[in-house]
Amino acid sequence: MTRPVPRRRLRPRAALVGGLALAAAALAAPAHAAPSVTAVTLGTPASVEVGAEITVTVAATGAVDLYAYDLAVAYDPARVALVDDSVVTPDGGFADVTDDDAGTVAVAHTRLGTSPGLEGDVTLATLTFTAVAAGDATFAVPAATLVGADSATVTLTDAATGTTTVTATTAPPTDEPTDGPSDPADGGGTPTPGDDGASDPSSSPTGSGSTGPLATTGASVAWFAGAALLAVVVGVGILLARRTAATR
Amino acid sequence: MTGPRPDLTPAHRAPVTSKESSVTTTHRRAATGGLAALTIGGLVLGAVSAPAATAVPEPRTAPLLAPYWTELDLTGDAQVTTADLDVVAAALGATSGDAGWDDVAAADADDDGTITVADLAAVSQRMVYDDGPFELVEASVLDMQAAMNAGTTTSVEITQEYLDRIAAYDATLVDPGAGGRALHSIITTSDVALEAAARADAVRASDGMTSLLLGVPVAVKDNYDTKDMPTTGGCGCWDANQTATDAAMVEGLRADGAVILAKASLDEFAFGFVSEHSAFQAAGTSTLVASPYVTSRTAGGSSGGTGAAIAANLAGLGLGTDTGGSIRVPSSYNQLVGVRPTVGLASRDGIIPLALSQDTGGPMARSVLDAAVALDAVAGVDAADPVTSRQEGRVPASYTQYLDAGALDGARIGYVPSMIGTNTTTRRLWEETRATLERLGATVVEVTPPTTWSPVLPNGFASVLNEGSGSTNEFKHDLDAYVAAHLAPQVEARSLAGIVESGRYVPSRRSTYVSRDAVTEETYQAWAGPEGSHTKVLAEGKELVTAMLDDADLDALVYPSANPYGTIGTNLRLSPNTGLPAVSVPIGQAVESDATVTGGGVNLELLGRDFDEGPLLGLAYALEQATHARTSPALYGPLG
Repeated sequence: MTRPVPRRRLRPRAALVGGLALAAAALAAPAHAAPSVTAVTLGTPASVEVGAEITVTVAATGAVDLYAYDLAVAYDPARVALVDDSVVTPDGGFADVTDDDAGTVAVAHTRLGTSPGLEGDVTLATLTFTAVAAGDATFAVPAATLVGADSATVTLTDAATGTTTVTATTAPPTDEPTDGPSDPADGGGTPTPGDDGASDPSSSPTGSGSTGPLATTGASVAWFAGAALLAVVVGVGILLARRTAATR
Repeated sequence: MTGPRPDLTPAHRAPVTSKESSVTTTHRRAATGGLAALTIGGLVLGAVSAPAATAVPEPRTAPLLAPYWTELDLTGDAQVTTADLDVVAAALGATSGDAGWDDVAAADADDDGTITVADLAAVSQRMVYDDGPFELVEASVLDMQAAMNAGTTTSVEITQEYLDRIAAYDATLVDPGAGGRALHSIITTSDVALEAAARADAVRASDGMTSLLLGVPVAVKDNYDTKDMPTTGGCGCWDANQTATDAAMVEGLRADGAVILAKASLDEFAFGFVSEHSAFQAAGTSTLVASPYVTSRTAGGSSGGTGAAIAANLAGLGLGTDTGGSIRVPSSYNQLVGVRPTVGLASRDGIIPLALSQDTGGPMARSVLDAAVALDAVAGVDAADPVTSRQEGRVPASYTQYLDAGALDGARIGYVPSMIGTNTTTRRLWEETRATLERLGATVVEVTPPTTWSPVLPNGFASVLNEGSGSTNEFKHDLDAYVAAHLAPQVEARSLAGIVESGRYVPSRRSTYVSRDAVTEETYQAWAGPEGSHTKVLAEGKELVTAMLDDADLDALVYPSANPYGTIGTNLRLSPNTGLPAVSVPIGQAVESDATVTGGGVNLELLGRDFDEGPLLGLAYALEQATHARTSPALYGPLG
């Protein structure tokens, strides 16, 4: 994996995930042999305490000719926040990361020059979040666009989901001053900005502990060139998000 | 060295006719200014200067401006790097309706009105970088640079692999067939090539890819002076000729970071088309160079060693010399791209001469791209070869600018039927090529050349083709000049007479050397002096053929360079007897049903106006990309 990719921040785009959820499965029939993957998986720890880091891994199995890709990784901004410069993509390529701070991280990666596409089982992106409030933190890959070396493109929707249960901290309070209600280290279960308060940290199903075993919950779906439906809404969703970035 | 020869005005001339009477005005040679703006997708991205040029026809677009791809350059620096990817990434999601679209429209590679990850990939693919498996056999200079930029290999590794291939293949009989022979394409390999390669790797580490030749191993014909290897001219009489300096063209290669790997064998003193040499052999013996495709056949000559070595992937690319066909014959026999430049494009200083009225040095390569890159390195003005003063302001920033797969679209290509010949293979390949040219958008025009022209050329075009080689009357004179300026002091044979006395030469050449030693200065002056007969024929020949091109509004006149392992009439004389440039490019091979020499290659030669190497390379590139006619010799694959 390469060194972390600095992220760029987007303005909030709350409609993105919802819009994507309406989309049908994959997309446009490519003119040539298209890139493909057997499955996209999303690995998350089962549970962490508030304040702990959550490593989310988006991986592909059975990748064929994967020259470039664009992933939308959805997260619950009420419970987790992306750690700056934490996103890592495969070695030897170029990557760009944008975070709208409202629940979507867009990760674009491309191989360079005439390099071949990625093949086999590959980790597409590793993202590190900080747990900021107790409750079930859901992660998802609502949309992904794959590009082959011949420029053929395949778009996937609802590619993978995962959940990490964020539990209230069990450590005794420290003497260190708290920074305020949004400080994930305060452990008090105070709702963070944007938290609707519905999740009760004290009701987290798991107790103390750091990162738990990865729970791979990705959908296992085979995507073949030309076999899926157009995902117009997905494409528009990603593009709307990108437009926001481009027009800042 | 001879000085530049005056242009002579013909006393009168006859018109050139062509069978296509309607000559359009959509000529591709419309003059442009000295600056060529690179316009991609309507956005002017930058400017590339041509050195004070007024006559260089610039291409419409420049997909590649060595050492970088310029197509989809977004930052205006004429190269595609990660900085351009940053621009695309920042624009992801932008659409054509956005207020700032004009600033990012050039990034919309698929022209769908939206900047997507597909556009990011498209821009990325213009970077010179490849982290996939690297295979040296048939690798272009661009392939080598991409692999070295990615760290997949290094110049040291590439250089060592070529040395290994030379050791394994060159003197080894690998052809089990009847009459099979070893190639014998290399006379000397460099003891310091690996050091040069290490220096190139260090330059890349510190400064990046400074040139498409950085770290690329090159074999040069053994009539180019090299300060780290002796220059024999293929003659045992000059085994000790370790010169103190490089030939000017070799200096150009080294300046671009190339690794001078080896000295390629040749027909002794570049005389003939069979490449028989005596260097480093016992007196009275000689060796023939074989073609790697049909090793019972000659590699051609006189640059046969370069031809065989580059075809068999014993070096990255090569240099040959051409007085009357010596680049184009071995290029045709060995399925290579050969460039015989305009006389005056590149300095001949430090090259053992044969006839300076016609001598040229030029690249021989496995692709048009490689040839263009090499030509960039060797073109230049040199006071030591005054004829090069003609090229000032007429050389583009890079010949790679012309490498456009669409270059034949709208081009007008002329041919003279009698130059096609009668060989079954050649005629079949010509017909196929003609169809390809037309499919690619070219208009193929049958040209009837003038049958009268002037007192110097009484039979017009035929007089041009029938003019003999300058080697007969010029060799002694020009060799003496080389001896005085370059020959190492320890060499004992310092004249043609001395060479004959040494007994160290190709045995069958004795009578030739003796007769040429008898040529007097008066004979030379009457032939090649300022008012010499040959001087006049060449000058008027250039005017006649240029008029043929102009009158039929042609971008190039084409004809086969050779048949499979055989020459065609006087075709090869057209370029040397006019001084005009020619690019020879593979168009196919003989098949069994042709009943010629199965596997033998045929090249098409494209001849153009003075210093039109760029447009000619562009046309050749378009044909090459459409046909990919070159094959790799099966006997000389990757080492196990």
